[in-house]
Amino acid sequence: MNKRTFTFTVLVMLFSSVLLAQDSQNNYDPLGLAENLEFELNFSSGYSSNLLGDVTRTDDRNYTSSVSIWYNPYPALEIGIEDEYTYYENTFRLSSNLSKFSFGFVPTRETSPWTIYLSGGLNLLRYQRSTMSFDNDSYDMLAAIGWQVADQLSFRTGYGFNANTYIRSEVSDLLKYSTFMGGNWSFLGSNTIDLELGYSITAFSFVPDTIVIIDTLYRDLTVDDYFTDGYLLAFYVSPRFSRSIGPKTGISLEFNYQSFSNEDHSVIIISEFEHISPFAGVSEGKSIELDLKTYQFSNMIVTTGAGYWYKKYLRLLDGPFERTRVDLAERRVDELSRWYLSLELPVAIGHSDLLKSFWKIDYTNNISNFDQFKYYKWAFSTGITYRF
Amino acid sequence: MNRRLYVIGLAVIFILFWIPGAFADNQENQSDQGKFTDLNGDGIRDNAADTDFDGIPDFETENPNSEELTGLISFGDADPGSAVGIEESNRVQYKKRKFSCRAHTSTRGEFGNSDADAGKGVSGSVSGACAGGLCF
Repeated sequence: MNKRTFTFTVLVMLFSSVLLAQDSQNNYDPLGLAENLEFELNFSSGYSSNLLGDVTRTDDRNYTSSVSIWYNPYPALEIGIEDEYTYYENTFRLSSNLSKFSFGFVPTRETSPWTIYLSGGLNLLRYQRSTMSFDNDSYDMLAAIGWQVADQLSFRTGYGFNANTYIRSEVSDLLKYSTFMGGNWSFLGSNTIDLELGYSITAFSFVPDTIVIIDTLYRDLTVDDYFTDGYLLAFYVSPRFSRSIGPKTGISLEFNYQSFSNEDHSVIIISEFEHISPFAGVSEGKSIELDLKTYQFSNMIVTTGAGYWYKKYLRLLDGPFERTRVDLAERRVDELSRWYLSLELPVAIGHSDLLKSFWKIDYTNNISNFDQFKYYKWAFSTGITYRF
Repeated sequence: MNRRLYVIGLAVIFILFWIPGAFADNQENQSDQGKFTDLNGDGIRDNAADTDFDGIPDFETENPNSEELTGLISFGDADPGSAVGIEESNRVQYKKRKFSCRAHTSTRGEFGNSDADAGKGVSGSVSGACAGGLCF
């Protein structure tokens, strides 16, 4: 943890302590801070049998702690600040600190047929000294409008913006604009159909396949010199069917189809950031997920589900790059299956406090045309959250 | 593989539609719990109240937010004497407002680029948990 992060964490904790002391000792709260502030402390740990999702089968444990504060100066506005530190036991280089600043604005009342939602956030992610080239800042914004046409029929539309900046390199910076629209209709008792469509434009850096060879030998060139800027266009359609099975249990079935329209001539360099390039995980394809959620067990939320994803990634190229044929870059195609089970045990304490623990188990099997990405893995996580 | 996938998917839909007794149960409940809506896609009635905000609905209690919608669009604070009530804190009122926008806040376009949105993904974008910028 660097000096600035440590200072920030201490300040957050001091700020929290002062505010709490004012309320608990004097019971005097002229600004309404106590009732309009919410704190959350979280500690969790996890284990993955294949942390990086590749043939290296790197297994590791992690421990995460976080403190969050939300403040509502008005019923329509929420301001949030959060600091989260994650420690990886064996892969220490991936340990990091994440600071989040966010806001939410809902000017419309809950009884309004039209609803407006605005939100935004800034995330500052900082790794250890040996991996500080991954340090990045990300910004996001969402503006959405909903319309309750009838009791069981509603529509929504929105616009989103995401930006990701690697503060020590520009190669993998990302800028994405997206828009979506959807409709939701409940019918014949407890059946619900939800259809959503979306379109996005992402500015990104890539190596065009018109460059045949990256050649950094005997020349004053680096891999970065071969990059060019462009836009990735994508659309998706996602129908979802959900229904209840009795009053406390629900199931949902979701399809998703996403396609790029202009990716044919772009090649992504995945080793530039040791596979942390934000574009290494960008894919098109289709998926189907079946989920079940139940409150049938006393004071417990049980969620389980399974899914299948067919994913075609952008054309990928791995180093070293002394003399590398760009035109030989292939598209990674994966078939991924996943199953998970999650248990949550929330316990309300008094009028507004909450103590929540969770356990989660997850199994993933991935088949790929790239040998390095053929893998399976188990992941377990557990944690406890106290909100007050 | 794909054809088999679609056949399985269609079969599941067919079974879900015709689970015996499900229609009747919910139609009986509609009279005292309002009409069924499910904007967050978990298959469970949204209208049930969650008075302590623990994430578990109070299934016996109707959500006061599900009262009749008023006007074309309503801004400002709650009306005195309404189900929302003026004595509720800004925090509680905000949570209820945000709940009314639950369908807007969880878009499903992340299939291809959840890693990109996070800006820090290392492994596959479909993952069970994320910690410190890494989904595992």
